[in-house]
Amino acid sequence: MEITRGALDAAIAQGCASVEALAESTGASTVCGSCKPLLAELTGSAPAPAEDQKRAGLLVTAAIAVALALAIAFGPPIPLADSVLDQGIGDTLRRDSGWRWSTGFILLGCALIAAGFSLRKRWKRAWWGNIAWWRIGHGAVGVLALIALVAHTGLHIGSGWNRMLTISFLAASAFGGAAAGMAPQRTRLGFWLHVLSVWPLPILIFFHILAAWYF
Amino acid sequence: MIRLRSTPCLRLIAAGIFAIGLACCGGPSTSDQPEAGNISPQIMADALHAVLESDRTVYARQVVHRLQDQEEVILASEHWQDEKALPLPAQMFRMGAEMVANKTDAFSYALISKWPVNKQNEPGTEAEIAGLDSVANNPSAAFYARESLGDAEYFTAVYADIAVSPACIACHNAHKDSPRDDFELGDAMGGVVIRILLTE
Amino acid sequence: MRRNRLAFVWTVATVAAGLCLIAYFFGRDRRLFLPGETTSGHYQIERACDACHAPFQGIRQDACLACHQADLQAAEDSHGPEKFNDPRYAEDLARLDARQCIACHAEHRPEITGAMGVTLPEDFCRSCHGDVTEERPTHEGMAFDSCGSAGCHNYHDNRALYEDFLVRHGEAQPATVAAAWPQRNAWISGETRDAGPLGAGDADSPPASSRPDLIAAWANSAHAAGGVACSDCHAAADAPWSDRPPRAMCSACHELEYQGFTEGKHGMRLAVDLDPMSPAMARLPMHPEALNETLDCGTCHDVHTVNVREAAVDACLSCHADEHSAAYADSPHARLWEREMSGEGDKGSGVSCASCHLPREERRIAGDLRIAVQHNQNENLRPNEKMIREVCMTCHSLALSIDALADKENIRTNFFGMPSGHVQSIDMALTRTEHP
Repeated sequence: MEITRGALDAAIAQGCASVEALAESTGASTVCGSCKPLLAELTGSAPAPAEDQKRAGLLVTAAIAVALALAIAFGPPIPLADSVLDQGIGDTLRRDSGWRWSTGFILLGCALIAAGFSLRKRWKRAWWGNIAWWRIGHGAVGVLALIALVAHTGLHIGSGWNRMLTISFLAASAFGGAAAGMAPQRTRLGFWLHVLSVWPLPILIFFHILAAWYF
Repeated sequence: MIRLRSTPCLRLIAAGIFAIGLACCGGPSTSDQPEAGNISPQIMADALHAVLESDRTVYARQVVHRLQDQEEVILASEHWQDEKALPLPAQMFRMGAEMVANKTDAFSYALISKWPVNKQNEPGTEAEIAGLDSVANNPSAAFYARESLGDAEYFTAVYADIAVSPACIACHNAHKDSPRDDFELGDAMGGVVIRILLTE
Repeated sequence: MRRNRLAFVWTVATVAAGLCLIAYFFGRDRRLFLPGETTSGHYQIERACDACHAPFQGIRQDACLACHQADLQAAEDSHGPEKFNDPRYAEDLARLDARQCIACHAEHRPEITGAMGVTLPEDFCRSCHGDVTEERPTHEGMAFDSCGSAGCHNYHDNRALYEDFLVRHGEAQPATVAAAWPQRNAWISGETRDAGPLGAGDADSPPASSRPDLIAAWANSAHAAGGVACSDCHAAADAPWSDRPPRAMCSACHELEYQGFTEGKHGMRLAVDLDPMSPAMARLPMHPEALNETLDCGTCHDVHTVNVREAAVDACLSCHADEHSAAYADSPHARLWEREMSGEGDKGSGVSCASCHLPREERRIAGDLRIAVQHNQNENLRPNEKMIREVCMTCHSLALSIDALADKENIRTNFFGMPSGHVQSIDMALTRTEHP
């Protein structure tokens, strides 16, 4: 959806004095809604308090996602037990191939659910729930995926194909979180970086699973 | 590295598909009633034991005892390869057991004792403990039980393992790892455990 | 509109890239998909995925055994799968299926791989032998991660470490005695040669391929002495003359040697149809000028002189540049080798690189006892205790052998001086014999 500044100015000139009125008239802010604060600025009205609350929720999930992604990217790998007596759940998750399959598929599931968010934007139909809550949900599922990634990899970035997959995944998470936290004027850049890092994921994941299965 | 084949989930799916397939085909054609000629696990175990015991007795008496103690031709030694000697009867028995275990899961046999030279051959399962007690009290009667080990059911039989040759007691009484040094000819030194797999 | 076109191009490019990757995935070199660095034991053949992996079935145990079974059987494997097959171990096996090689030696997992490619915590012995001190009070206070690393035990091969062996060879013995390696009585497969010795005049090469220097080299070689003419290699089995016969040519007569060669680090790539090993691929330090060599029989054995003495030291040191190799020249072993080469020492009294790493072994072939060179240089190296019986004890006491092989510094200096540490195993075994 492309709505130019000119179209918005024209609508305001015709008497649209609130974000809701602008939305009604031009369709602006009805897809992802991240521009609502900008529209509020344009119309000179204050953002709704509820928007602030949702924004805070989004910021928290975004901050967790960015922090987790950075921790996985730059943190040291989780060490495994030095003794057979100290082996815990972490060792089982990492050593047992059955568990590695399980954490992998949980991770894949989270990624697919998170990807469903873009349907909400692109598929024009009546959707249940407010877009802002959907966005928070998207962030929360992203955080779950990162936790599953920790269980799956033990904070190892991996090598070769797996390394590309991990980096792509972490970049998608970090840019996604950053986009949510960015000032509204910059959201567009964050969004495109997020999309760019998500783009190779399906192929990376497909061959990762194929290789694990084939070999 | 990763064997998807063996994950429980896939096994379950495979079992499900197989069950549906069976149902479509009208179920298995074999009946649960034992047919004439079928032998019970107990008869099977007794028969195996008769063969095992006889073969080892022949080896202990006619090969080891005769060549080592009577004709003094060659020694029998635990380290038979290094010392170019005869394997001990118990080792011969174990080697056979290992070879069988590499060939089939349908049955297995082993030597166990409350006074083993190698600690790994102490009784481990409940049936083994009860079996050794039972045959120690009454060496002529075998002990029978059903056991569940891992995810499989077994018919387990324990038979007294009698010192049939002077070579048996001489070695066990003198071995520095043996917990007992007063075995006598004819003593029950331990037991032979035979397991018949009941489940697939 | 522009945006739609961009999206279209993007999608098409992505799908095309995916299709290319599928072609790559089923292609010859798939190392991009390696999940982690391959261990030093297998990295040379990591490109030959199918050597170990069966499509959609994971690792085949028989693939491990195809290369390692003979060695394990010869080692009288202390923990072979047959030890765990008894149903009484079902619960233990559910925890760790010790019958499968990959239960302890997972591949491509550098983050958990320790010495000898073991991917379990180092104190893995504790899983089953945690109560060892009940039976062996002498072991009180010993760390479980030292069972296999201190020179006392080995999981698979205890032929030189088992208690009665320690007792038998542990009584006071001179640390070193003068001895000689057994002489090779090379075994030649195929038809027995009864041709007499040949001289330069017997060279049957075509004129265009008759370089005088090569003919002179051959005329002084063991091949000429044994009646092997030019055409026996260059035009074998009535094939047309070839100036460069294929490397497998040598195996027509030297079957055992070639087999050993393709089982070890020098020739293992040939066994899975990869191009030959080259020092450039090595993970050990190599001389820079040797990096472009490729390894086949002729790399170490000049094909015309077939001088096995050169192959025993000079050939090795022309590539290998690690500290142990570099220290050889100043070692006591090298002095013995120099004495033998100069004629001062007895035949077989010298100790070359090959004496220890490509040792002469007894083999029974069709009932005959043969002494042949084991060309799998890894066969007695990992773990190095495998060297004790076949090699070290030819001249040295068991005690010195165990101590030296457990002393990393002594190995680094190529056994210059005596080992600084002492492994207690013989003392403990003797004490227990005296006071059971």
